Amino acid sequence: MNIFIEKFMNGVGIFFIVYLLVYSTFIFLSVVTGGRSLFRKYKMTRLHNELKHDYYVPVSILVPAYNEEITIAATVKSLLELKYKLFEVIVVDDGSTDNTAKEMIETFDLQPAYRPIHMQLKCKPIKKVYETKIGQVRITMISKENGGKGDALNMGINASNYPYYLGIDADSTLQGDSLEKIVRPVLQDDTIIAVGGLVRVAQCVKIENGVVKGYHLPWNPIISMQVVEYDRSYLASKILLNQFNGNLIISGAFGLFKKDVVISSGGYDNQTIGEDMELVLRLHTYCRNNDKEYFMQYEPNAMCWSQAPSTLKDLMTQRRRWYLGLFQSMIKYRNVFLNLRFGAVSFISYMYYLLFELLSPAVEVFGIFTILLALSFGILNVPFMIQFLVLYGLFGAFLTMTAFFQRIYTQNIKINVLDIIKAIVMCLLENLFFRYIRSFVRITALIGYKKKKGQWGTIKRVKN
Amino acid sequence: MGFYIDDLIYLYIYLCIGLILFNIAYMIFTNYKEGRNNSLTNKWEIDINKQINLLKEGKPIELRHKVYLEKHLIYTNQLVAYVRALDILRKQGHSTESYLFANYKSILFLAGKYKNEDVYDRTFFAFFISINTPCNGNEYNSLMEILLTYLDNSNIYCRENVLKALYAIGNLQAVENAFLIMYEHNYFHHYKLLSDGLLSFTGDKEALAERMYKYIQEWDENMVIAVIKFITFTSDKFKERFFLLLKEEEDINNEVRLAIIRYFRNHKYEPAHKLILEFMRSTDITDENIKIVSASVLGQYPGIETIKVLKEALKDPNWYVRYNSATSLINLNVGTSKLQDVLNGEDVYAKEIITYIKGLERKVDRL
Repeated sequence: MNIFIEKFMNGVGIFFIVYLLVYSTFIFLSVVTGGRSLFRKYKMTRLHNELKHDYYVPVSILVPAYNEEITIAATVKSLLELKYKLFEVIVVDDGSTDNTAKEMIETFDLQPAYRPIHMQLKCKPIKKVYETKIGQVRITMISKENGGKGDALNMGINASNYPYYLGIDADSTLQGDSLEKIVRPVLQDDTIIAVGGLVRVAQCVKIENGVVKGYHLPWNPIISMQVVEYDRSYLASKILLNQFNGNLIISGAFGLFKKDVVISSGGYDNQTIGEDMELVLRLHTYCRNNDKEYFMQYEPNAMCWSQAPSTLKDLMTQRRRWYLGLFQSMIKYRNVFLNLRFGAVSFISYMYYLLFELLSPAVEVFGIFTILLALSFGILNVPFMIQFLVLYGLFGAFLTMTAFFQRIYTQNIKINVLDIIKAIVMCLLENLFFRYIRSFVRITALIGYKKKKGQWGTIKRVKN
Repeated sequence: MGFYIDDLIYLYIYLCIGLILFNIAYMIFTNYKEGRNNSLTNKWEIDINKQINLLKEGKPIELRHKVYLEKHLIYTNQLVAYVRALDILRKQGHSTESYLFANYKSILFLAGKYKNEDVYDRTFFAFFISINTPCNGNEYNSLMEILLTYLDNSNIYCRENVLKALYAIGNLQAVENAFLIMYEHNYFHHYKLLSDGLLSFTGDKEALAERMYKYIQEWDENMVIAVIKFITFTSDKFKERFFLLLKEEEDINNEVRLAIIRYFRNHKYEPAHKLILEFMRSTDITDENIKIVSASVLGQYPGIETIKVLKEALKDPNWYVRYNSATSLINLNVGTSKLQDVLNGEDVYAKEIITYIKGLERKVDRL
């Protein structure tokens, strides 16, 4: 029995060593590649290596909203401050039970409109359409029956007038130049069908008239930890995966898409929680199945500031949704797994999300189980285990610090000494504490899945 | 084996610490450089101002200054400071044109030096020329020739800045050559960038339109669309030629065809009117965009036939054809009385779209 356990534990040891080795190397390479890429972008901007024009392509900005009475008006006001010549704003009120529609109507003096909408994508029925024009910007609000975020976005696409649309969250704030920067890649290469921007935490920034006026890490550790986490995750995987058109997620909080391709691929799936990841996987599948040359670009200079959950409960709700979204999309597009047609998308991107995101709860539960097993047989080297956990946590913390400081210097953000200290502490806390909350949420995410899979996730909002 | 992963993680940690130290050192260096650049900019500002004043007094630029330019501006950091200084002086109301013209030879020398630099630096030099043109476009000269060589092994940003520099100088031959190089090298440059750029050409735009038109049957679709869009906003002298292309060239690319039809929205031409009406009536057209654009263009061509065709198009199965037809009918000031048959008719789609467009019109009136 002991020989069997010993052999089993040896096998487990080798598995975890290989698993962690691959993961650490991937994350390390991601951060190094990301840093290099940001440095190059910084140099290019300084030397005017950019496409600066007065006019770009016209864009429809789609804002799906469900019970967003607190933030919706501020969000739309921030959109009106964008420095961009031709765009429209379409707010889709997805059957809110609060005063989202009333807030919009009163703030912008919206008028009811008898507007026929070209229903190219299926979605729940319209209740009422409102319109107005402020300056050169047409604002449309469509009140419809509740159908989920994907359904609301499909309605927005149907009502949009322009060939590209930008999907943002109802609590997102864009910088004045965000739209211009996210559109520029489209002019570089006509095979680009989508562009993802950089999403950052809104609570640490002060924006006036579309310009960042101050940057401070909040005292709330839940928010601060997310600040450093966002910096690492956006710098880490996204830039590396972008090198070979391998991004599988363009955040719903800030993503530009070519409308006709999205319509041809069938639009958003309204049965999925993670509609943003589902759409990107759908576009990969659609373009590859139809031999269509395409590229989905990540543009780190285009920035959007989105509210992060400020309580542990909200954070867990959000992460649960993210994990379920990942689960649904990965299962739905399982044909991408080890599929030569998908190349690096299959063998690197899909594999990364499968092994290190989707299956990580199972691996972690298995790890805990084997620790308990080893303990019960008295073969657990406790000091080594603690030393290893601390070492691994420190590695993660150093990587996060690297990502955070690279972001700071390449984007000319000025931070004070207190913020630097806070950032270092948060990097340590994030890796030694926060990652275990994430793991717990993932492990428990599938409980009650069937009951809650179609719902909008709500978190407490505060005014921007 | 556990020790191997330990060692690897230690290695990664050391590398991360190295990266963090690099970041910190870089931040300090950047701050230092920023301060140094500011003082360099001030220095350039004073020196350039002195030379501008000399020119105002009718004296030539000091030889020392020219030597200094050629010695220092070969470094990109110095060039960045120099560009900033020129910018500041312009904002203060100084004219830098004659100063730059007087330094043509030094700038030509620098252009030659930057030719051998990496693409980022070349791109910046082209940017410098685009806002600080040291010559006019009357004659094709060596600076233009050197700028054209920048297009070899270039990226999109370099091409964009070289084109901007050539548009700013305003020489026909140089722009024509640049387009020929782009075509020969099969470089992709979005038609929107090209057409907007051509519109910023500072020389004779009509003459440029004529030059560009020569290649309309030769270049790829992207470049041709750019040229047609440029001509659309520049000249009304191409009505007949475009009409013949539209009528007689059956193999013409659909996107190019659409661009030509749009030309006739800006420049009315009666023979084209008849052809566009035919497009609307035709049942053979496979690309629905032809009808969509035609419906929109007809809004500029009043007439009984136009109204009849547009009213018929309100029943078209394509939503955009109906939308554009309704918009055109309203643009043609077709009153409600003349639309009664549509408003009281049984075609729900036609009724719906015309009611909406009329509603919009009322809102515009109210505003």
